[in-house]
Amino acid sequence: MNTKTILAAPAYLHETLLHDLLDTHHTNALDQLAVVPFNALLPKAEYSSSYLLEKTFERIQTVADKCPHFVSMIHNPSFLKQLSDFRKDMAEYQIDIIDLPENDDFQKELKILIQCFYDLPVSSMNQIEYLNSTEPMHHVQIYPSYRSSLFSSKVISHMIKCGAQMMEQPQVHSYKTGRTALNRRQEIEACAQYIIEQNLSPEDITIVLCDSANDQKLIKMVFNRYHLPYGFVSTSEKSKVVQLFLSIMQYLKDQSLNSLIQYYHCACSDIEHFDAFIDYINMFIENTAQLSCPFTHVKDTFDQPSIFDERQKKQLIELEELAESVRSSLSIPEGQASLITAYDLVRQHSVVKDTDELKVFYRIKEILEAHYEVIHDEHMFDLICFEIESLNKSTSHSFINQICVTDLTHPVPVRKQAFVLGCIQSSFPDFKGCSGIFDEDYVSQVPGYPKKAVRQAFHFEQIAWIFNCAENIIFSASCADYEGKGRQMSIEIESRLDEKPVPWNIIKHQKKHRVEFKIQPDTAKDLFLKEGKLHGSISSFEKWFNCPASYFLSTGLRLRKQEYPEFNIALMGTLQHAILEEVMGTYHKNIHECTEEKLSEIVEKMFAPVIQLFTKKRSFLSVAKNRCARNMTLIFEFLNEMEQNTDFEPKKMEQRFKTVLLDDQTYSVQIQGIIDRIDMTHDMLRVLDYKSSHKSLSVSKIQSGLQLQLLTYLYVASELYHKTAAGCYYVSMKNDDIKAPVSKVDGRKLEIIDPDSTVEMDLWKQSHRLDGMTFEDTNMLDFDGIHIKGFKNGHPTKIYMVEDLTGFIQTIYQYLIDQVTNGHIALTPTEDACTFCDHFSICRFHSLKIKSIVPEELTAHFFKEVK
Amino acid sequence: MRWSPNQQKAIDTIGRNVVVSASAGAGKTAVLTARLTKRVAKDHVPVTSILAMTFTEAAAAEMKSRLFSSLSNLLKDETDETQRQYLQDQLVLLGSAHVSTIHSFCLSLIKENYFMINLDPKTASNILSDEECTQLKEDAWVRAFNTMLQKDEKEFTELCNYFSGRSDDYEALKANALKLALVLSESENREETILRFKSYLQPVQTLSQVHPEMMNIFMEACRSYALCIENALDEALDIINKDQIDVASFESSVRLRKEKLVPLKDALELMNYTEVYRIIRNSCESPLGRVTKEEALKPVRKKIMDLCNDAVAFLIPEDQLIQSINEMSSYGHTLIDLADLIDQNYSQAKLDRQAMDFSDMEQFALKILLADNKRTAKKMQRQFIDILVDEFQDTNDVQNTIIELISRGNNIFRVGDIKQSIYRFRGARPQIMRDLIQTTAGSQEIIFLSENYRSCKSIVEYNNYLFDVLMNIHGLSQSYTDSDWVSIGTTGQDDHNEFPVEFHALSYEKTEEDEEMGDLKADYIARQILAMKQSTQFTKWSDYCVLVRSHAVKDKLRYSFDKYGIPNSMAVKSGFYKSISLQEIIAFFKLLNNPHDDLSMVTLLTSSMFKMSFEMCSKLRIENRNRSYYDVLKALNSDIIEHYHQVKEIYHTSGLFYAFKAMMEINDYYFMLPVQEKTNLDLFADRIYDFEQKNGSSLIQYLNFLAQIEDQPTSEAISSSTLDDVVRIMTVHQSKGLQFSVVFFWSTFGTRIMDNLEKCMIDSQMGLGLMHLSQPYRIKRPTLQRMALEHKNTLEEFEENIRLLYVATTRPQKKLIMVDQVKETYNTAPANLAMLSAKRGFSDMLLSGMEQFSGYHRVLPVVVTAEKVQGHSSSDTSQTEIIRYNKHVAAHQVQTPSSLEERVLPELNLSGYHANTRGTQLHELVEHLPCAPWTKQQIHELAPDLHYSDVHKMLQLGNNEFFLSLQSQTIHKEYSFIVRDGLSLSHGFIDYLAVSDNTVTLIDFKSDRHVTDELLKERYSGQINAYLHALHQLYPLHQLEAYIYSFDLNQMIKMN
Repeated sequence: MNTKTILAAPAYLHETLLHDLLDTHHTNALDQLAVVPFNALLPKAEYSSSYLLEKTFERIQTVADKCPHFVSMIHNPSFLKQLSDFRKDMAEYQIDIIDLPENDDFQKELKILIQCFYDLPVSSMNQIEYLNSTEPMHHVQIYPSYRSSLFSSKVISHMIKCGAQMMEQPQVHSYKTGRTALNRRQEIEACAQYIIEQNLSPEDITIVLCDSANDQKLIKMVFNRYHLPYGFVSTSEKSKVVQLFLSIMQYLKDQSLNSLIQYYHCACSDIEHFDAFIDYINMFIENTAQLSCPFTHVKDTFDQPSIFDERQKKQLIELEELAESVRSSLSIPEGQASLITAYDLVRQHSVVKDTDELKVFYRIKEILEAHYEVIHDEHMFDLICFEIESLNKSTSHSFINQICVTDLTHPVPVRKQAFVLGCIQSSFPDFKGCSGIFDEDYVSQVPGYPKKAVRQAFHFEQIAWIFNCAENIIFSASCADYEGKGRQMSIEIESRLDEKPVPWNIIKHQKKHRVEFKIQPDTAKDLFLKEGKLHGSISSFEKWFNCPASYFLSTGLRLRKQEYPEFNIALMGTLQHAILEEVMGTYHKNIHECTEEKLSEIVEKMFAPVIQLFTKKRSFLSVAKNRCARNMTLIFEFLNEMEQNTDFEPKKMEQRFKTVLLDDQTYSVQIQGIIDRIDMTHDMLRVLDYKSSHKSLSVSKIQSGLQLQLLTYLYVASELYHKTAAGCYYVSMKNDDIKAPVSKVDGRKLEIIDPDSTVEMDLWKQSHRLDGMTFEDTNMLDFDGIHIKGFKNGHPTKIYMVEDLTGFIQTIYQYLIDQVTNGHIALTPTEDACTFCDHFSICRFHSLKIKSIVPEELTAHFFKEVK
Repeated sequence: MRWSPNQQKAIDTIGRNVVVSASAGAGKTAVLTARLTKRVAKDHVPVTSILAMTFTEAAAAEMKSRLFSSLSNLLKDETDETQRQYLQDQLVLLGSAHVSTIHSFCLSLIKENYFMINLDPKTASNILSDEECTQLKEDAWVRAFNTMLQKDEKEFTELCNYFSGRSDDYEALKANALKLALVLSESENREETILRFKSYLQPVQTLSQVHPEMMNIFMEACRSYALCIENALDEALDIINKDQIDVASFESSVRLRKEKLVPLKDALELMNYTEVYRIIRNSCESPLGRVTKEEALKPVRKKIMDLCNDAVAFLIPEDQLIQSINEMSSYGHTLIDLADLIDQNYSQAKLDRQAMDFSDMEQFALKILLADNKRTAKKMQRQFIDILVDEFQDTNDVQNTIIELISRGNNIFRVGDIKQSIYRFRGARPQIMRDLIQTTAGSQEIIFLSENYRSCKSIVEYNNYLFDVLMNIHGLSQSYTDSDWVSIGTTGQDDHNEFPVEFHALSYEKTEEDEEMGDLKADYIARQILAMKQSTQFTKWSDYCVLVRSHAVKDKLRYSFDKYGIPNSMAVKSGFYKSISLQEIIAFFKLLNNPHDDLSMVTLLTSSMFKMSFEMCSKLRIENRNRSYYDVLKALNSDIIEHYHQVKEIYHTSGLFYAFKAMMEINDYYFMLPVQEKTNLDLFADRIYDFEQKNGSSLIQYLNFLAQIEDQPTSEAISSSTLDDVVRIMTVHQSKGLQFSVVFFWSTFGTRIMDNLEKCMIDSQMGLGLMHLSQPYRIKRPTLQRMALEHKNTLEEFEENIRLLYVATTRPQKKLIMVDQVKETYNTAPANLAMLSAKRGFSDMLLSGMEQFSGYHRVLPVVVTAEKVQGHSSSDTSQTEIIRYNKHVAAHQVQTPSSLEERVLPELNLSGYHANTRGTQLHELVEHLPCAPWTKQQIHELAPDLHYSDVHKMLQLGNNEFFLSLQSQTIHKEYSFIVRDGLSLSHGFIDYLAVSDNTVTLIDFKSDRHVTDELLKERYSGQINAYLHALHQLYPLHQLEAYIYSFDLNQMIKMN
C-alpha cells in the first residue's frame, strides 16, 4: 500500500469511521487514506490453523503408547484443539517446554504430548515474529477496541512502540441507572417502548447485549414489531451450509438410514411431497438399500386380502405414490468419490446463494483442500468435521442513523443514550477461566502463564467501556427465565449504578378476542341437512350431545385430523372384530367346535397382512398376535358357554343398515351403521356390540343422549325384523386384572371368612358378563343368569319398558334435529367429550365442563325400572 | 445485626464439619452470608477456595449478591491498605467463584476433567432437552424390546402380558421399564444395584430364604397392622375410662383382643411369620362385644373392625406367600434385564450424539472423582478450604458421596431442615441428614437455629404444637424434638390479629358431587380474598397466596379467580403445547407443510390473527363442499393467502425461526395476546431456535418432533414476577423459601398414595414390588415384596406429607387460613399411625392439632351456598392502541467494489495448487516492482519461489506496450479511495492507477485461468464500473479509462 495514512480498526467500525473521515474533511471523496483491519498491518500467517491442527494430530499419534492416561483421547478433535491452543498460549506467553509441570502422571503425559509437536509453528507465529519487527508505523493510527487476550494487547503496544498512534476517544461522564423486568422479552420490549415514549432518535442510541447469542433474535422480533430501525454491529449464527455439509459427511461416514434421512432433511426439505416421503420411510423403510428400489411395498401387500378398508388402502397407496415420486427424484450420495460428491451437492444447493453462507462455503472449501490427502483416515475425517462444525455465519450490518446494537466485545463510539440489556450475573462480566485439561489448577503451576486475577482484570478492563458508552445509560436485567428460574443483576454492574434499579414500566397491549360458536339457523340448515335430512352415524350424533361445537366442526365444517392407518388400539379392535365375525360366521352357536388350533389359524390369517404391511413393527405385532390369540381363546370360552345358556341364536353378523327416523316430520334423521351382532328367537331379538373396553350402559347417559348407540341399534333391528326387542348388551373383549378375593371379618358373626375355593375362571366370567338393558322378562336370554349382568336365577332383576324405547328414540332425535337446525353449536363439552377430540386447537376450551346438554324434563321420565 | 448464640456459633465454628438444622424462618440466609463474609474477610479464605452449593440458581445468585454487598461495605470502612487490596481482589474474583447449584458444580467438574473418564468434551456442552431425551428413550425401548424378544420370546411375551391384558398395549411395560432404567442409571453403583434388585426376587423354599432386608420390612408391615389395631383398642378403653361408660362385655372383649396380641412381639422378633399370622388372626377372630346404645363407642368399634379387616386381608398363609414369590421371580428378572438394556441403549445413544442428560451430571462427576485413585477428588480437596451445602435435607446419596469425596473431612458446613425435605420424588433422602445429626462421633458440630423471624406468635406456636404431635407419631422415623420447638425471634412478631390461625370448615346447603364442591371451595377462597382485601389491613393482592398440594386443582382456582376479576398468577405444570396461541402457531406450521389441512386452516382463520367467524367459515364450506379452505380463499384472492405465502417464502429463505417471527407480525397478532400467551410464545420462540440450531430447518422434521412432544405435560411459561400485585397460586413445593402475609391452604381429607396403586412398584433401594398375577384369568394378589414395599412407601409418603404440611403452614407471616369441606363430625383425636394408615388427608392432621393447641385459633364453620355466583369481569388495564416508532429511516449502504464480482462457485481444487495464493503473489509483485520493464532478477529477488511460467507472465506484463506507455505518468499502486454518494459509501483499493494531466487510467490485474476476454468483461464489469464511479468523483475533470490485465491471456482488455 502506498497510502499515506492508515487507520487500523475492527471491520465493523469501518463504515462509521469512513463517514467520520469524510465529514472531518468536509468532502465526499478522499484518496490516499485507508481504513483497514489490524491483521492487514501484520505479516501474513504462513500456515492455516487447520493445517497446523492436522500436523499436530499426526505427531501426537506417534507418542500414543507413552501416554496411557490420554491414549483414548488422542483421536478426539476437541482434546487435540485444547492441546494446540495451549501450545499457542505457550508461544505467545513465551513459556518454554521445560517450564511445564510434571507433578503427576497426567502432567508428565501432557508434557510428552506437547513436546512431540513443540517445534511446529503456531497459528499466531506471524504476530509473535512481528514483536521483533522494528518497521516504523508512524503512518498508522489505531482505533481503540476490544482485545481478546493479553497477547493481542501486547501486539498493539508494540505497534505503538514503533510509532503508531492510538486515537483519542472523547470522554463522557455517564449517568447510570438500573431497570429490571420479569424476563428477557419484557426487558427488550420495555426498552423499545421507552425509546418511542421518550421520542429518542435512533442515531443517538446504542444497545449493548450482554448475552448477545440469545438476545439478538429477541431484538429482531421486538424491534421489528415496534418498527424501530436498528443495525447489528456483529451477528453470528449457525450456518446452513455447515449443517448441510456435516449431514452429508455423517452419511458418508456411517451410511445409515438415519443419517441419510438427516441429510435429506437438510438438503431436500423444499421438495414437494417431501413429507409423504418421510412419512413413508418412517412407516415402511428399514435400510438404505430399500431406498434404491421403487416403493411398491404397500401396493404389493394390498394385492392380498386384508382387514383394511378401501379408504385406508387408498390413503396408503396414495402415500406410497407420492413418496415414490420424491424417491425417484432424489439421489443417494455415492461412496467412493464421496468428498467431491458432497462438495458438489453443497455447491449446487440454493443455500449458497446467501452472501454470508457463501463465505462459509469458501472456508469449508479451504479446509477440504487443505486436508484432502488425508481425508480417507477415519480420525482425520472427524477432525475435518470438527473444524467445519466450528464455522459460523457472521455478519455485520450498517448502523449509521440507526439504533446501534452491539455486544460486550464490540465497543462502539459514544452516543447520547445507551441501554445495556441482559445484565445478569451469568452474562456479566462472564470471565471464563481456564478449563479442560489445562485448567486453572494446571496453569497456576506454569511459570509465565498470566495469573487468573490478572486475566480477569484484563477481561474486565476490555468490557468496562460499557460504563462510559453514552451520556445516559440504563442497565437492565431480567428476574427470571421463561421457565421461572430466578436470576439476579450482575453485582459488578449493580454496584456501579448511580441509582438503585427499579422495575421497567411496561405498557401491556392486549385485546381479547374469542370467536363465538354461533351460526344462523338458515346457515345451519344449509350446512347440516341434505334434502331435509340429517345424515350420520350414531356416534356422530352422540358427538353432538357430547359437545355441539365438536359436531359442528367435524360434521359441518368437515374438519378431521389426517392420520394414516397404523398399529394401534383401533386396528386391534378391527382385528378382534374380524376374528369374531369369522368365528361366529363359521360356527354360529357351536363355537366349541372352534378348537384352539383353528382359532390360531384364524388369528394368524388376520394378522398376516398387517404384519406384512407394518414390517417395522413386526416384533410388537408378533407379540400382539400371540397375546391376541390367548385373549380371544378366553373370549370364545365365555361366548361358547353363553351360547349354551340362551335360546337366542346369532343370526346377523356385522349387519349394515340405513334407516330414516322422524320421516313424518319437517326434517328427518337418516342413520347408517353396522350392528356387530343380532341374536334372535322366533319372536324376539337382542343386539350385541363388541367393545375393546369394559363399557356399561348408564340410564343417565342415555337420557343425556350420550349413549344412543345400543338403543338405536335395538330399535332399528326390531323395526327391521319385526321382532320384540328383548335387550341390548355390550360384550367386552378386554381382559383387565381382577382383584383376588381376600379374607375378611364378618361384622355380624365376628368370624374370619377366608375366600372360598372360587375358581379363577368364575371370577373372570363374572367380570365379563354382558352389560346392557333388558326389556323382556324372559329366562331365554340367560338360563343360568351368570352371563348377563343383573340376572338372577335366569331372570333379569331390572327390566325396562319396551315402549320407552320407541318414545325415547323419537324424542331424543327430534330434539337433536331441532337444535341442529336452529344453529345450536355451543361449546359445552360434557365430561368425556374432549378425551379423543381433535378440535382443541379450534375450540380453545379452558373452562368447566357440563353434565348434560339435554333438559332434564325432556328425557328423565324414560327408562324407569319396571322390576 | 444481633445474632443469637446459636447463629453466632454457626457463623464462627471452623475446623470441623458443621451441621446446622435451621427451622423455617430462622434467618438461615443471613447466617450463611455472615459466615461467608467472615471466612473471606476475617479468616482470609479466598473466594476461589470456597465452594458453596445451593438448591437453585436463584439462591446462588442471591448468595453472591449478598456476599458482594457485605464485602463492599467492609471495603468502604477499611483503612488498612493491604486489607483493602485483598478485599478488592476478592470482589473481582467473586464473579467466577464456585457459588452454584450442585448440578452446575458437577457440570463444571465434567467440563474440566472429562478426560478422566474418556468423555468427549463436547458432551458437557450438549445437554439434551426433555423432549430429546424422550425421543432417545423411545428408540432405546424399541431396540431393547427387539433384543429381549429374540432372547426368549415366551418369557418376554409373558412379561408383556403381565403388564396389560390388551394385546396391543405395551405402555405400562414401557413406563415401568423406563422408570426402572432411570433408577438404575441414577444409582451409585449400577451393576451392584442390578444384582441387589435381583437378589430380592430370588425363588425360595421357605420364608427364611427371603432376603433379610426385605423380610424385615415385611415384618415391619405386619407389626404396623397389629399396632394400628392395638391403638384402636386402646382408644376404645380410653373412651370407656374417660366417659365412665359401663359396657362390660365390650370392654372385656377389647381387653381379650389386646391380650391375644401380646405374644406377637416375640413372634416378630423371631421373624416367625406363621406365628405372627396365627396371633393376629386369632385376635381379630376373637368376639367383640356390642355397643348398641353407646354412640361414643360406635366409631371406635367400627375402626377396630375396619383395621381387623385390613389386617386379615393383608395376611395370607405362608405357602401362598412362597408360591407368589416364586411365580413372580422370573417376571422381575426379565423386567430388570429389559430396563438394563434400555439404559445401556440410551447411554450409548447419548454417547453417539456426544450429549448428556440432566442425571448424567451427577453420575459423570462421581465417576470423575473416583477415577484414577481419586485424583480429581484430591485436587478438589486441595482447592476448597470451605465447602458449604445449603438445603442439605434434599441431598441424595450420589450428591452426598460427591460432597464427601471433595471434602478434607473437617470442612463441610451443611445447612438444612429435615422437616422441610419435600423432594422425595426426586430422590432426596432426608435420612442422610438425620443420620448425621444423630451421629455424635467425630469432630462434628450440630447446631440448631430455633428462632423464627417470619411468622407471628400464634402461627409459630400452632406449628410447634401441631408438629410436635404429627412428627412424633409412634411408628414413623421422624421426630419433632425439643430442638425443633421454635420461639419468635423479635417482639415485633406478637399477634395483632384476632385469629391468626383459622380452619374454615365448609359445608354446603345442597350437596352435589365432589367435583362441584371443589369448584365451590375455589369460589369460597376467591370471595374470602375479595372480602379481606376490602376489610382488613391486607389491601394488596400480593399479600395473599393460595397453597395447593397438587397442580390438579389449580384450574378450578384460576377459573374462580378470573370470574371475580382477581389478578392472579400460577405456574401450570401442563398445558404449554396446548395453550391457545401455541396451538394456533403449530397449526400455521402444519399449514406451511400442507395448505389443504383444513383443521389447521380453520384454527388459524378463527384465531385473533384473522378473526373469521364460524358463520363465515360455514358459508365458505357450504359453497365449496369439496374444496379445501386454502383453494377457496385463494380463488377469492384473500389477503390471508397472501400472508400465508409471505411466511412460506420466509421459511424457505430463512428457516423456521424467521417464519415464526413473521407469523407474530401478521395483523399485530402477538401484540394483542394476553401476557401469559405472549410469554408462552417467547418460550416457544427459544425452543424453535434451539431446535433449528441443533437439527436444521426442516419443517417436516420439526412437525414430527412436535407431534411426539405435543401431548406431553410441559409447564407453561412464567408470566408474572414477585413485583406484580397479584394473588399467587402455587403448590407447596413452589412456595419453598417464600413467605406471604396471608396464606390460604387448600386442605383435603383424603389422600391417595399413587405408587401403591401401580401394579409394579419401583423403589430405589429395594427394587421391585410386583403384584402376583395368575394367568390366564389375570387374578391379582400381592406378593411379599409388594406388601413390604407398599408399607415402606406408605410410611415414607406419610412422613413426606407431614413435612409438606410443615412447609405450607410455616409460609404465612400474619395469617393462616386452611380451607376444606367437612362432614358433620370430624376427627379431633390426636393423630396416630392408625389415622394415617386410614389414608386421612391434611384436614384430619390439621384438626387433630387444633384439639391440643390453646392459642389464638379457631375452627370456623361456614355454610356455603351452592348457587352459582355471578362473577365480576376483571378490570383490564391493558392498552389496545399500539405505540410504534413511526419515522422513516433510510438505510445506508456500504460496498467494496471487489464484492461486485460475478460469482462462479469453483470446483474443489485438489491439485494442491491454490489460485488465491498465486493471485495475491502476482498482485504483490506488481505492487513492489519498480517501473516496467522488469528483469528476471528483480522478480526473483521479490518472489524466489514463483513458478517459472508466472515469472514469464510477469515479464510479459512488464513488456506490454500499453503498460509501458503509462510508466511516465504518476503511478499509484494499491490506490485507496473513499467515496460517498448520498446514502451509499464505497471504498477500496485500485490495483494500478496512472494519472496524467488529462487522463486517469486504471488497471485491474486478474489471474483467472481458462477465461476469455469476454468472460472477464462480464465477470468484472460491476467492479470496474464501481471504480470508475469513485474515480469520477476524485478526478471529475479527467478522462477516465479502465483496463483489465489478464495474466492468463497476457492481454490488456479495455473496458467500456
